[in-house]
Amino acid sequence: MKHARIEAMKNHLGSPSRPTVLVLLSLAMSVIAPPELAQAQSLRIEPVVKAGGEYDDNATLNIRTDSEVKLKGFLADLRADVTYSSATTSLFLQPRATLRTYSGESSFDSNDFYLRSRFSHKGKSSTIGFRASFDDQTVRTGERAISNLEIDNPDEITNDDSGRVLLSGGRKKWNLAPFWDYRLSKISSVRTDLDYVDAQYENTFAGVLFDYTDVRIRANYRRALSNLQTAIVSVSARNYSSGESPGDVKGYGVMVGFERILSEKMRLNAMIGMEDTQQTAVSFNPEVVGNVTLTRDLETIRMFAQYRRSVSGSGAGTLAVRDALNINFRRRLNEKITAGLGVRAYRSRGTGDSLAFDDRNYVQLQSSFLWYLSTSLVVEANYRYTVNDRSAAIGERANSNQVNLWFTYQPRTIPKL
Amino acid sequence: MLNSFAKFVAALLLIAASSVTMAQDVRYSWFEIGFLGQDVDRAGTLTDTVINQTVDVAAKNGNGIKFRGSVGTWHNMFAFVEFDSSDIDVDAVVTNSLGSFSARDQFDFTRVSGGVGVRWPLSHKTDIYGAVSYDSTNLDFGSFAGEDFDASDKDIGARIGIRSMIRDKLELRASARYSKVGDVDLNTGAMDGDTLFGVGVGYELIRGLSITGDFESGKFSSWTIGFRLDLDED
Repeated sequence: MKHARIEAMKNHLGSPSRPTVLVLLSLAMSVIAPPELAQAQSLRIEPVVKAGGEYDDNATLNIRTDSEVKLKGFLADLRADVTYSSATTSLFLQPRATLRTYSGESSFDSNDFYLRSRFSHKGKSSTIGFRASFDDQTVRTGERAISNLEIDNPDEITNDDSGRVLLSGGRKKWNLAPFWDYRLSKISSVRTDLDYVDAQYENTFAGVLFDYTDVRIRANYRRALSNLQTAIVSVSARNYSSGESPGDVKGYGVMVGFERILSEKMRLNAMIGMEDTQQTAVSFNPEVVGNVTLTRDLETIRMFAQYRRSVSGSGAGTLAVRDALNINFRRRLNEKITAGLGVRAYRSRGTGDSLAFDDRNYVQLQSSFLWYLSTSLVVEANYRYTVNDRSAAIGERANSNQVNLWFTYQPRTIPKL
Repeated sequence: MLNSFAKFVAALLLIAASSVTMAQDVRYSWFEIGFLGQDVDRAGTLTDTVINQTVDVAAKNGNGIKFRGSVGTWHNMFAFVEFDSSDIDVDAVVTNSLGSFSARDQFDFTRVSGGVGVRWPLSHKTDIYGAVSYDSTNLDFGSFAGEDFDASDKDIGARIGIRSMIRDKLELRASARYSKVGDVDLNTGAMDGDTLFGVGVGYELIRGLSITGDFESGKFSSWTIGFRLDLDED
């Protein structure tokens, strides 16, 4: 019933066009951002233009070797990183477009658009801000977990891909995550944040992928136990609604943990707790959730490793318990060469006890080499190996090998790893 | 064959134990990704008496990818993980009332292992180590004319080895490991134990980046060429 209301609202409001959405979001940010932004000396715009080629020997992760789609084509990736920071305010805005053209397989051609942003403003005793993003991309890339070595914060790794990448078509996804951090004393603070995700699929996916909305509200209490260690208690509530499920899924969770500074360059965060979910007339067993995250930033090395167990929502129309391992490692080997390795691996199973159709193990390994011809010209070679193992559900698994070669022009970049 | 391999390993260990003293320490914090050549070389037969059908399969060899990582050392201890995934060629013959038909396909061979170990330095540049692990081996054939040859199991394992920096940029290593899921009977799908012997070499191309080569001999023999990134700056 509620879905009918949501659909009616969507139909009434209409689906905004892509340029309208981007312009509206940009305008909203410029309104929210403080007035001094216009005169800010530290405003920085960093355009990055990438052109390259891609080869994938099983682009749709098909389980049948005789039905594998081999794609070979040209890619262009255009983005601009707009950053502003002052003593009290920071803003990051990144519009991005990725264009793909494949020879002989034009049905897989795609134009993906993204807009990412982060904003925070520090007041006397509180900090407010938000993270917002809009993705308009094909399901083939959007529903496949991709290791991204450019992500520095493990919390920004999405957890909602369904692995259903066989069909061609588009998906629009919003993510809005405002927060308010209030300092109670020198050693304690509370933080509330909201995480709103809304995904809409093209009609092509009727019966395969389902529009969904996932809203989670969370409150954290942090108390410093020493200069090196902070205790954290977190409570959360969530509501997941999907075109597939007969009613909303509601969940409540509690977690406790700590953050510890292991050294000047290394930090450990560990949380553990329970999340209880229930649907109309159905109550699932509470699930253990938690995460352990290790971040390490040295002069020439940047790394994070995270194990996360969570109850995640996706376009599959149901919640799933996911044990995920994410590792990003980059190392500047000398002035000219940077190498990196990335791992995204997870085991996903339904929240109920019975075997779900989407139960699977997923592994993606990435290796990357960057060769700096100059500060602004970079050649990048990437290799990704992906396994989507659905042996438990359907007795089959698929793997793919993907190679990318990029030529990057970044005329105003700040040298980084 | 095994005798000559043992001699080769013994020679390698002697070289390692007598190497010069100016080389750098053996490192235990790294990630490695490599191209994997995998030999399975197992055959099996399944018979369905109801439809009077027999399927014979012969698994051969193939290739894939190997990822491994190690983090350490804390009180001379380290933790490690290995992930091998390869596509193996398989020939099959299906015999039933319609005749005899041959087929050719590939199956997925996956091996995962993780564990903890401890090292004992023999010198500034040579360590011996021992480790215990939890191993998983999976052979996913899909289906041959409806017959299921899939096999999968998890169990414990153990390994010992020696690693030595015989030159500042050159590491030689040798190891032996036992895995309770190191072999498979394709007639029954049951896993069995096996002892594997391995040798390897690493050469540091640039500080922090090495090219590596490894060979491991056993029921499931394999070789790897990869590159290794050190997690520590020194």
